[in-house]
Amino acid sequence: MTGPAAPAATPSVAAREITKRFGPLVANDRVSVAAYPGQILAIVGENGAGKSTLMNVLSGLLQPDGGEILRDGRPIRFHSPRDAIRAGIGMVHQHFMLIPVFTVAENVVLGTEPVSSGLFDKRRAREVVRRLSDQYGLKLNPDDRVQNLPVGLQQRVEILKILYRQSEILIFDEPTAVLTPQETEELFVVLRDLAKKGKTIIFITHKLKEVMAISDQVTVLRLGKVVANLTTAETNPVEITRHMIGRDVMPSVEKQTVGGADTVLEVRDLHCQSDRGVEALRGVSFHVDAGEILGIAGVEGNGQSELVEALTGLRSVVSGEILLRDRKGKRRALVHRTPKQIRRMGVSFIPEDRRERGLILTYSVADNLIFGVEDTAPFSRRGVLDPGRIMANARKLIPEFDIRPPRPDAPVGTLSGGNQQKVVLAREFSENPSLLIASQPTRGLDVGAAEFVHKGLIEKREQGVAILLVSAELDEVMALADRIAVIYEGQVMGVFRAGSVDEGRLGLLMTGGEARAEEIAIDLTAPALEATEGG
Amino acid sequence: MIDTTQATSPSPPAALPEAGRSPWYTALGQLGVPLMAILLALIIGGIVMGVALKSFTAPLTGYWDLLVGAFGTPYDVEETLVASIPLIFAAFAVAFAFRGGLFNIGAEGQLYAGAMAATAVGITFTWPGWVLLPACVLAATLAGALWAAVPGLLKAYRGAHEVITTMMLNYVALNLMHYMLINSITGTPGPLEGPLAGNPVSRGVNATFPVIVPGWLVANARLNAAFLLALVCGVIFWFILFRTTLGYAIRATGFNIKAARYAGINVNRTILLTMLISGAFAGLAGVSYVCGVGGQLQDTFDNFTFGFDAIAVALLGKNSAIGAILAAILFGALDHGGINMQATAGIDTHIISIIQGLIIFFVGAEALVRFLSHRGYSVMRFRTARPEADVPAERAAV
Repeated sequence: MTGPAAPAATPSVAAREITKRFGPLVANDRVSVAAYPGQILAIVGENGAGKSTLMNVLSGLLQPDGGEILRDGRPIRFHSPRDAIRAGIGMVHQHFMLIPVFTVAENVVLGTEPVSSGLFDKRRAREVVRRLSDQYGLKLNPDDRVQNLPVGLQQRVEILKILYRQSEILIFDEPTAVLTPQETEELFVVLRDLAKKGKTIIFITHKLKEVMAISDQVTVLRLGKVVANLTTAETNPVEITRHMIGRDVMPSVEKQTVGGADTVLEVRDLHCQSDRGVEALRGVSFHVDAGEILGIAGVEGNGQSELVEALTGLRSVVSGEILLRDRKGKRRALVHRTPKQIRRMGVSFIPEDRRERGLILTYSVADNLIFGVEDTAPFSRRGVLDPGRIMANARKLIPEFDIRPPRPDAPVGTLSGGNQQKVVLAREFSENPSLLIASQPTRGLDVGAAEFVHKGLIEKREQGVAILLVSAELDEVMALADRIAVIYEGQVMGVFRAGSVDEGRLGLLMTGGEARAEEIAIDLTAPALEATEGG
Repeated sequence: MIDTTQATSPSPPAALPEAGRSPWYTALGQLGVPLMAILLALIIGGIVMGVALKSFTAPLTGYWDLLVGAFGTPYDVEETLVASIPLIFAAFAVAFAFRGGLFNIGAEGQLYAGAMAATAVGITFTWPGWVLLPACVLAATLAGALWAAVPGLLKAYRGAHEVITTMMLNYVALNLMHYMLINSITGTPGPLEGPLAGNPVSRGVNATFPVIVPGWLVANARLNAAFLLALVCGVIFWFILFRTTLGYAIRATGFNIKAARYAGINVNRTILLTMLISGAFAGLAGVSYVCGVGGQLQDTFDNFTFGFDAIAVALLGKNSAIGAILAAILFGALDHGGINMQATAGIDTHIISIIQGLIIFFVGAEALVRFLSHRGYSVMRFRTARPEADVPAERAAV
């Protein structure tokens, strides 16, 4: 372990030998970290490394079993988040705690409202919020309703909330998980500005790019212990990764070309509405071949969810065609089919939110592994489940996909995010699909688990499965996809062979910065109808 | 925890303290909250008794009389079970719907529907008992299911909230039952009304559940085969939920409707079937009384409020078959033992309602009970699943 390479000043907040146990699990094992005013400290580690536990200790949500917290060098005890706030420590959580129908000002002051003669002083609230917003360059209008704000601005409301409570130390729990690349950039500007004004920033992440871009110091956690304290300027992503997962990451995934394949999925001029009745897909056309990964790149909310739902039968199609070549080589229309029918035709689906859609958290691993095929042989006969077969299936898949803990009867909700995703993968892969739709398959996963998912996708591709990969992570799309389709406001802006286009260009297309021009969309090697028409 | 690496990197300890615990421990943990709730309710009920009667010994003698009254003699045990029969069925109805994510507070109405159907069949036909009784049971089952089908259809295909629709149908069923026994608009006899004019009871049904307690043990015993039917239904309840694909779909829909839809489960059909089965159980509660100790349909049937008490029983029983049976027997014991308590100790049976209410309160206030248990005040240390290490952050953030 390297000693903290930090300036000589007193840390504004420090954890000293913090230990926190959950039953037999030691989530934090004598963890020490120090954060200094005017600096940005990144805390990195895989899921389950103990980052969140540590932050919850620092923000008063959890009480440590051992060790102490120092605030400006003095020991301090928190019994609740309220104590931590009083001590000037505020946390911006991954999931916002905002009231959608309230205005920015109302949200910010909620709980400590300015009062005049016993009544809520709205005017003063507005003034305070406006002043704070200007002071830190947050560019928020106190009178906007939070529900009308994009995610990036909602996050700023959260920041404003803790600034309003006079926090000197701001903890961010994976703040970029919900942001677009542009919003991330803007957040970084805000963070640097806050640091410049003397605030202490603690930034939890597992994205190394962000660590390198924003932090001054890095503390790496692994399995509940601090394994390294590094100065960002003196380290590099490879070194950090080695500390994080205890080994080197495989070089970028190797792909072999699978040639001469048939078109498995063809989408023609698809139109769909969003939940709010707005046209979410405006004439989308593309195709996916067997043994190919087509990546859909785009900022979230540009029709990706609707596209995936339309393909899987969860959303009704206004017009257009979806054609699938099923396992027997027959072409079949997917429009107006139920999700079950589409599944039976050989379409597997990794949903973007595994906890919401992919799994029943109270069900055991074994039961989740048959979710969607529970009414087929051999798992049931004439409507009666066969527990023996269900268990046997789990015992086969658990080692194959390295699901931990390897217990078929463990409720899936008790598994870590990465292992939950492995359960989804195990199930969807074992259905032997001809088309696999993977929607944000690595969201919220750490490096190791993401690598596992990527390997799995590549393996399926080599087996000749057609894969549609929808991801907000441009890096992921660029690393995996054979062809990349950019989606913006419900239209395909262009389809590119991987390697023929750089990140900057894709970024421009993703944000509408470059008009959808006919010539860029033509992919001469593509066998079928491309996305040059429609819309 | 993720570990996709070689065997050299140490596997982290299981995130769950529960992992590896025996099923008995889990079962005990399940019992924790209901037992604590009952204990707390009895303590507070005791305080109420003591204060009301201005006596320190009143709670002790009261509870003693309650216990003796409920279980003191074979006759009392038998009567306690008799009192629990309709509650068991009705609690199955509520619990089954709960498992499917539906709050069926219309068990009361479905129970009337079942009772009316059983009465209609039971007084119309004069077939031998071994034909007529199953016919009554079948009629009640179907009637309960049909009564529940209305809110089921409305929920599944029109999104109408089942709490509203089932509750409203309770009133419809109640007034339909009154009409069946006395037509208050024209003053003429109702379709099911017996021969005594103006007396709102039906004729006695021609088939009843046979008594299952031998005469040498309890003279004039009333415990009948409906109790056995209830136990069989408990097995059916468990089998449907945990051993059939339908049950799999019902629980999946109940826990996470989005995921169920994504997996291809026809959630609308599942919701409808959940209500049908729930209603069938409630219908059985109706026949268990009409062809059981009731022997006829009475205008005052609604005084029992079996369907409403069943919500409490189902909650106390944690929506499981065994739990519902045990909780129903407890409520039966309180009801039957309360009579003795009033007669012997002079404590009004309303105290029973207070205790029952308190039990529900504490079951509902599970968080409070859990807090007290963790503080070490509990008679039994129990724990519910401890979330993985990273979960508290999410919890707190939501």
